[in-house]
Amino acid sequence: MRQVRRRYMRLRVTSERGYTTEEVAEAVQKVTRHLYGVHGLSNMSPLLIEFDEEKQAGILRCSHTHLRQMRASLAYITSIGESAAAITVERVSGTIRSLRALEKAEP
Amino acid sequence: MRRFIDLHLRQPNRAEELELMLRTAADTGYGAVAVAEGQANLSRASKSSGEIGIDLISRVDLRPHSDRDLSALLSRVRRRFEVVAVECGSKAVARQAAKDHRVDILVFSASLSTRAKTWFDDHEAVLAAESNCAYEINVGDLLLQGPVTVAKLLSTIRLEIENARKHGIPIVASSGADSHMLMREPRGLTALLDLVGVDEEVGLDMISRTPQRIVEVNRAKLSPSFIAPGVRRVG
Repeated sequence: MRQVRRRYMRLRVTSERGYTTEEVAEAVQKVTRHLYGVHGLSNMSPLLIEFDEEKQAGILRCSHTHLRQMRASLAYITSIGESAAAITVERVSGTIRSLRALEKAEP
Repeated sequence: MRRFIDLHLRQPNRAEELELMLRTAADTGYGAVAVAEGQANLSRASKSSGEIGIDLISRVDLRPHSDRDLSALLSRVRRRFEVVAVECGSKAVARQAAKDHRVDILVFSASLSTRAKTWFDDHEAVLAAESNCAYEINVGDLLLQGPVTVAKLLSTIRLEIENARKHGIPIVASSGADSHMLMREPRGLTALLDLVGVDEEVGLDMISRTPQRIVEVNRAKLSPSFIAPGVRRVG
């Protein structure tokens, strides 16, 4: 069986308050289902691999064929829970290793 | 390399928020932004845009009550702003705006009741093609609405894009944001156009080449050396 290709996105949450990993993961799942339905959610299969609650930044994995829809879902987020929030994708990479390497290389 | 332009930022109430918006634009990869004219803040914004390193484009959004009102407003503002947009609140205004060469951008209401009466229909597109007006999609209009409204708005925008394409009207995509929380990075903004069937490359043109062309042409027209289209003072 052929291995599924994926994309890794480094994202940052902007809000007046901080969120937990679970809150962000749930918001991503919810907005994806809202915009593209259960079928879209299963195609994109978003997974929040890591999230730094202090920096409010993390890495999200999705299917490489649905990267644009994943970006649209993230851009569509205007609130998490009860408070206003926005998610910005800072970088996209084909491997988690190169994403981390790029992060370290940046000032 | 593309230079991304968000051609429509609405003025927030607080001056600090506008500065934050300019910073967000620069941080997320925009090279230029247009801030719609408000009462104050713009002089301060132009100062901070220099510090931030972002090109600030002057824009005015006209909301005329009638077609006659539009003509009067246009003669007053055309030489003062780099981008002139008209919010088409009625059919008469929309038709007049599409015919007038002084209008750069046509904007349609996010309200479903207004949009049902006044939208970018085929006839509007024919008129806009003759005067070289652009059609604008404000992505921010989709963000704060309920699912039913968004669904209806999306199908209207899809039809409008089809009309624009059929007649070769330039399409501009903007955030229409009035706070930094509603601003999106260039690729995020164009990804949202996936909802109205716009391909990635075409979407990227809508926030780079198309607005760039409008601004370049208008800046050339506003420069002191401009005499007439194609005629420029060189000495």
